[in-house]
Amino acid sequence: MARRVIEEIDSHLRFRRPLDLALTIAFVVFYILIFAVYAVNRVEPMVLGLSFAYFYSLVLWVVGMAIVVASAKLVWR
Amino acid sequence: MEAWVATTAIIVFYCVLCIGIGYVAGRSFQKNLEDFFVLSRKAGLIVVFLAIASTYHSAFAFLTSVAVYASTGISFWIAAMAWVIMAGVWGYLYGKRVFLLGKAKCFITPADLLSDYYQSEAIRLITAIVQALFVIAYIVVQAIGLGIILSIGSGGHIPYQEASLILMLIAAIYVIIGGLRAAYWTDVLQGVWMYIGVWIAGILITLKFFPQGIPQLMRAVSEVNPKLLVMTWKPEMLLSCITVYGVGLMLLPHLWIKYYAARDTWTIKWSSVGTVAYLSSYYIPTAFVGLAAAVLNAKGIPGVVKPGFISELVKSFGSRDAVMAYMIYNFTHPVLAGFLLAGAAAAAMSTLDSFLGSTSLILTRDVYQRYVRSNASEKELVLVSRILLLTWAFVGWYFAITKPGLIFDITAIACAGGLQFLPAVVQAIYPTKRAWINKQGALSGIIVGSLVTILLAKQIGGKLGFPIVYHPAMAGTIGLAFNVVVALIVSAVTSPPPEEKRLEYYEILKEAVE
Repeated sequence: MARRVIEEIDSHLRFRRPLDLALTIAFVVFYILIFAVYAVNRVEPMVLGLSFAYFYSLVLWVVGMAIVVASAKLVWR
Repeated sequence: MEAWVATTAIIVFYCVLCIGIGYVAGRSFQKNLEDFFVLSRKAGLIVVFLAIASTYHSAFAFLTSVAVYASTGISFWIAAMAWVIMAGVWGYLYGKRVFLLGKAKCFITPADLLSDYYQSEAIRLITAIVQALFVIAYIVVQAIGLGIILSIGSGGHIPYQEASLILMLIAAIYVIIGGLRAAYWTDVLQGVWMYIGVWIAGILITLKFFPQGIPQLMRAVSEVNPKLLVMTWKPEMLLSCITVYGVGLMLLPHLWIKYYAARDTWTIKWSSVGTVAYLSSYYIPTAFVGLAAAVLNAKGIPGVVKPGFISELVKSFGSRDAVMAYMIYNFTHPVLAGFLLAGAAAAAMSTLDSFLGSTSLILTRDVYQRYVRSNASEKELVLVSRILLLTWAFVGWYFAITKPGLIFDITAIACAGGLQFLPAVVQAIYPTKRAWINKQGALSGIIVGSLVTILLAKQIGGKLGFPIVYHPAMAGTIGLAFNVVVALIVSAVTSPPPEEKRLEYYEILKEAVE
């Protein structure tokens, strides 16, 4: 019995549904995009006079929030 | 009535309110450790959400974020936004599992879980001691913040040292009266107060100097120092901050035990979502104040504020952390300033009370009860925890009066300490077929990681003559790397742990994924 359970232990770490995997990938991409700020690190003004880098980070923040809410609604148990 | 009297009176009113809540919480206290520290595991969504959010944000968020914005600009926002989202997500991923294990096995402290999983009393002792020591840095930070707030709020009539001591004692008193139940209840009040306060302060101060709003502020910042509007931190600093403040902070005992207190996993899930929204949006108004302060510091306004006023604050308080309190006190109505500075005090006290409570808890339960008097009654344990709570408050205050530097830097030391528990915790709450880390590996990893962290930090290793890194957050991340390598190597060359404990944890945690 114990042998059977130890064999199945790793199964609880696997992604159960494609959506679980998709949102995990979204989180990884989100953090890659955080570091991509160095590629768009410009001071030229955008909406409300915000620099491009600041505006980019605010857009990313909205995306990050959306991923968290979607995860809670669809994946987190 | 003089301005400082009105401001101080409102701060005093806030303090009386906190003590009152502590008294009421104390009356409903059931005189056992589980109720004293984890609310008998019955805390609902509002309490858990606001307790986690307000405990996470402290003098760090209200004071030092403005100071760091004023000196490094939006770099702080980019990093802080990333680390609070990480904190919320990690808080859910580990908090849910910690909750399930705590409920199933009646855990109260972090060491309860780790020592049970690894079947090691040494891990219990090391966890308790390491966490209690690193937490001192966080208590110092709140003592600094409280000293700044009341000193500036009283117009300098209450000196920094006395101001810090008074507010530290008030936080200690209401936790002594009402236990962590009082801390949870006051966290709700403080969480709401500090959030409203920071937004009002941000909007009013920005519009006072930049009546056309954000576009005018951005133009002014661009004129005085355009670098404040781009990312200037190095990638390794960004990565370290996300790791240390996003993951390490959540592993400190004051936040860990909040997950034991939750009623169910639904509460943890939605409090994590609320936490992300609360924590990240908190840094928006502080950015406005910080950037406005940078402009005022560069240009000054004749008769209102002198150029270089931040340097004057550094001379008085030992760091730039006083910028927010200075702006509130000098540029808002005295009554409103009292309300806003009480919000700042709420930010510091909501964290301080949890730290004092959780530190006294782990020292009482994991050290006193285990190694000093194993047959102590519940009443005696509560008394000992109260004495330890007061002792830790004085220790924190003692270091704070030395004005040790920027809150942002000192906080990182405590969080870096929390981060050193990551490998051991992950192995425990994510049981795997192969045990990568055993008790010898976990123990040696925590010890080596903690030592590397403190020796590479300027505030400790620097004073001992060791080569240091740019920021304590980076010291913590390097410490974690050493920790993981040592834990894996030691585990590989020592005997593997028995399967029974992994199976037991797996059975409990299956609920987390089903």
